[in-house]
Amino acid sequence: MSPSPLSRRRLFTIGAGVAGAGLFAASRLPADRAAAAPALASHPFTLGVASGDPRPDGVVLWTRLAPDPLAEDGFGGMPRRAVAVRWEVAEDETMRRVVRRGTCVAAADLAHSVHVEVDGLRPGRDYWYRFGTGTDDSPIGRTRTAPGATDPTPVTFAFVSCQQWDAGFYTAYRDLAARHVDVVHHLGDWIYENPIAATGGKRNLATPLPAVHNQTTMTLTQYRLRHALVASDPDFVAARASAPFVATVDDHDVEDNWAGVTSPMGTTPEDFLRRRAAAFRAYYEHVPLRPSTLPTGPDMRLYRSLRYGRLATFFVLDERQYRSPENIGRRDEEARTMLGTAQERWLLDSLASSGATWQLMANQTMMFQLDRLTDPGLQQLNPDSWDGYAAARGRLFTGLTERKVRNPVVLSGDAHVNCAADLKADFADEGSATIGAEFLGTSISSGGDGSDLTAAGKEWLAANPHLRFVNSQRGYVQCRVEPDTFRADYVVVDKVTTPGGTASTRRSFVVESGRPGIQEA
Amino acid sequence: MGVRSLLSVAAVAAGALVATAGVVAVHHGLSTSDSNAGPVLVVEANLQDAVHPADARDTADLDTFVRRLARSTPYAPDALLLTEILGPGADRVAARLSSATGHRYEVTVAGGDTAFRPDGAVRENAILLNTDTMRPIDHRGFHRVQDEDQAYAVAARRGSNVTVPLVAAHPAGDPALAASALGSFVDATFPAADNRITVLGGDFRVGRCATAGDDQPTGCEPAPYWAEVTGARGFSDATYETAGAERRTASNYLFVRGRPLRSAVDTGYAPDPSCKPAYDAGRSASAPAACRGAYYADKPFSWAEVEPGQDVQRAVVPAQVVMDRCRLADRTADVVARTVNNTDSASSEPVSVDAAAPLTATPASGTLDVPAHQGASLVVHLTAPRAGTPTGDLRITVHIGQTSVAVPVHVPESCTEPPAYATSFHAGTPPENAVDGDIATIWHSEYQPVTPLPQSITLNLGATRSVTSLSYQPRFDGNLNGTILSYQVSVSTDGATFDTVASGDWAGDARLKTVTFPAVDARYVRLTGTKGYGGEFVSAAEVTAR
Repeated sequence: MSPSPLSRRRLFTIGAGVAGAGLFAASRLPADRAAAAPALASHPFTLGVASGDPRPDGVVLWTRLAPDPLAEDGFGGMPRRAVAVRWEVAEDETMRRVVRRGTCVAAADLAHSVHVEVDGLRPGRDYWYRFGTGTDDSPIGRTRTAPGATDPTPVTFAFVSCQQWDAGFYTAYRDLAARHVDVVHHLGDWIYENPIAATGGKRNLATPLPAVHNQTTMTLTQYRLRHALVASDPDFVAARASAPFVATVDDHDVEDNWAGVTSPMGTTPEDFLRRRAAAFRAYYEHVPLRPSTLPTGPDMRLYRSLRYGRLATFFVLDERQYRSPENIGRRDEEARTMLGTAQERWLLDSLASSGATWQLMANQTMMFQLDRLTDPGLQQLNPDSWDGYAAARGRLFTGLTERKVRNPVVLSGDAHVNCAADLKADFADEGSATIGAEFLGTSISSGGDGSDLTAAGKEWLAANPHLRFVNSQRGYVQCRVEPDTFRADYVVVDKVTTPGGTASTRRSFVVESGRPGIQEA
Repeated sequence: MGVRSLLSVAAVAAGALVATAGVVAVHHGLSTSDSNAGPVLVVEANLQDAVHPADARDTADLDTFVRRLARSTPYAPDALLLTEILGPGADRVAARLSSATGHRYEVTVAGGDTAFRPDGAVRENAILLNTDTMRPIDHRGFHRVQDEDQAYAVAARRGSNVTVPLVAAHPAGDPALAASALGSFVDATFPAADNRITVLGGDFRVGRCATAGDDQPTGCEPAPYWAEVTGARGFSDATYETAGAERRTASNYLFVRGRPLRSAVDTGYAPDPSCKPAYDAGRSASAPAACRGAYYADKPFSWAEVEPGQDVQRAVVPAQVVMDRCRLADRTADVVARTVNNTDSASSEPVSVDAAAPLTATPASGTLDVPAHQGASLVVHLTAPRAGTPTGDLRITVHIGQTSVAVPVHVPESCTEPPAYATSFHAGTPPENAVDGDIATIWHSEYQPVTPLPQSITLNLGATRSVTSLSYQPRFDGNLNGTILSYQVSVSTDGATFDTVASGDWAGDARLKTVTFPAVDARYVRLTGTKGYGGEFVSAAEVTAR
């Protein structure tokens, strides 16, 4: 009989809680160690290590045992039994000054993934960590705790999104890995649900990908395989080992353009929720989320805030689980929602009560209005973005203004394009108040090589005066939060459909504290 | 035996009342009057009562299901194959059905209090037995397919030597892969045998035809799962063959290895969409008054009465052809000749169709070559010229080997024709979306698999009129994929011959494009895309002709 989700959660908590005590002792005894975790047939840490959701006193450590990550049953070549996994956290990259260690259980029920909550760490500093099982040790990962509540030290972070595996190489991640930022925000589309042909799409594989990947992901096994494929990419492995990740889902993590219980394919809500449950489960298993995020069936609580010292608070949003079905014709209806009632209230309340200088919203779909046509009287808006939920956006903007929220900055993904825009109280009125700034970051790989400024991009700029920058290459955005300024550097890579692309900073913008709107850096 | 029997029209018409017309079998050795081979009546339903915990706790919809079911079947069901139901819900159905029928129902296999297992699998299938008529045999449980626990059980028909393996299934992924896995499970666990009726019931998530749509033509290209189950696996789709509901769009089925005698779909059940939210939330008492006591799920249940299979079973579907569909210049309908070969050696039988003008049968003859323990179908397309076919009643005769079946053909006044045709479309984006006046919905030609250009959409204007322009609104959702860059416009008055009236190039943006041409009479206007934005496909938000 498998343990209930509740007992599993407790197990992790206990494993983390007694880190310095009894299990520490046990892990020093090689004989006990071998008994608890017999050596596996081959190296189990093929998917690397990761950390996530930093707090001032701790982080989540993640790994998944998978000696054969693409084993078609989705179990990564592991036996269907629990395996003990050691972990340790050190103050130095050679792992000499270990400050926390313990063991946890990698359960077959969770595809032998582990999510260890480590606490008792010091705020605002680097740590290194690794796992072990049997005679195998994982690579060493680097992580960093969040600054203490009153710490005014500047924060350097990056945000990323949209990494369709078969659309290109993760060259942007390779570049990001070398920067060792404080934290990486992943805004969704960690995986894509599309069938992947034997050639691996743009990756043009020398060894054909088995047919099992050439299916739309719908079942838990299929989502696990897709996650394993993505997680085993060496550039992504490097990026996850380089800094803690804070992640939230977008549509492709389940299905293109899903909304709440609604699938655009007309599936019944019940069938869609079964699929959502499978997708969320596999997502949880492969992302360094806190164990409290473990989905209950089709439900996974993802929206949350992370305080980063005196300067920043991140508000991680979920724009899929609670939104109304898409309908561009009903975008102005007050009854429709992007965040759901509870999240919308939580967001506005949390924004209003934040003591930080900068309120950084880890958002998914484009929030600024984007009319794709210059034609007077003719608007082309995207039903999937906040444009499709204009009334809900109006409520959010009104709330930001009424509650005098300090320095709201929106970080977005989803669209596979770089944009920088002012958020306007009324997008139809160029002269209306600018209430915040939005930095939309392009995809890691989705969309292929792309190009700098397309004809469509030129028309977007011409049709939307609040839009200041458009670029259609791949990459990510690196940001620096200082007391007086927020800076965004758009890093682009020149190609992703062949390996070895080169990264460069295409454009930089700043926002001055107390002065909403973007400026040239 | 081998008697060539020709049913009279009157006999078929009478038979239609009990939904068995069109099914004719030649008995090889085994007689259906054998008292030891009593039929069993099996019910299938997707009760949509498992995913939302509050929905599962509120059993008013289950009570309604039982009430309606008990009124619908000719006698108390012998077994129920249910999906989207939890353990307590299955107990509720058993208890209510026991009191409604006076028989004793027991839950043979069911899940627990939640559909979601600790290991991430889903368990929401259940099997109930009428223990007055069926004796459970201690062989039951769950077999996991696509990370869903499919329920199975074996029961013996009391007072007979018939055993009935039962599977309640609900694929979570590609139904073709599920059908293959379920078929392998059945073959390995309950191989075909004398006096064994195997019933595979469940919801396969998609309809019978490979192409989704409101109409599922009798002879459509079948969805791969349906083709496998009724082909290589040797099952019969009971309601397709005997319920007179062969064109229904539902996705739940009773596949039987045995001979379906009669069946029905609860087609009179038409749930109002406004009912569902209250039931999903477990607040059935707050549902609109018309829902209470009426709503049970989004899909109708079905039942079938089945007896052990015969050596060679033959069926003609449908029992009566109604030529109420038109396609371009013709009225169209299908007739399907089916054979299931339950013997250990291959069978081969000629099929022919006698159809007199104005009807044309294509092909008029063929052969059903069926390997041992498999089934096969031969689809015959019937056409009649739209112009010049009087309304009234005609008749065709279908011969399968030594068996002949007379099938009445009705030509009604009306003839439904799609508002638009397309050479291909991707699931969820049919051609109707380009003529629905809604710029938010699109037609998109198929791209999985790649379906090369040119691809076209043909507007059906409903009547011939003068046309002088075509307007093309590219998709307007922010994605330009499929926007037509090079086009041709052609027109036709008869749906058969098309003349090109314009061609050219369009810019790759979402602006409305309009092309004008000298006035021409047309009933059909076709827009062909020879080049599309982003790849080997074309799309359209709206296409109109003026």
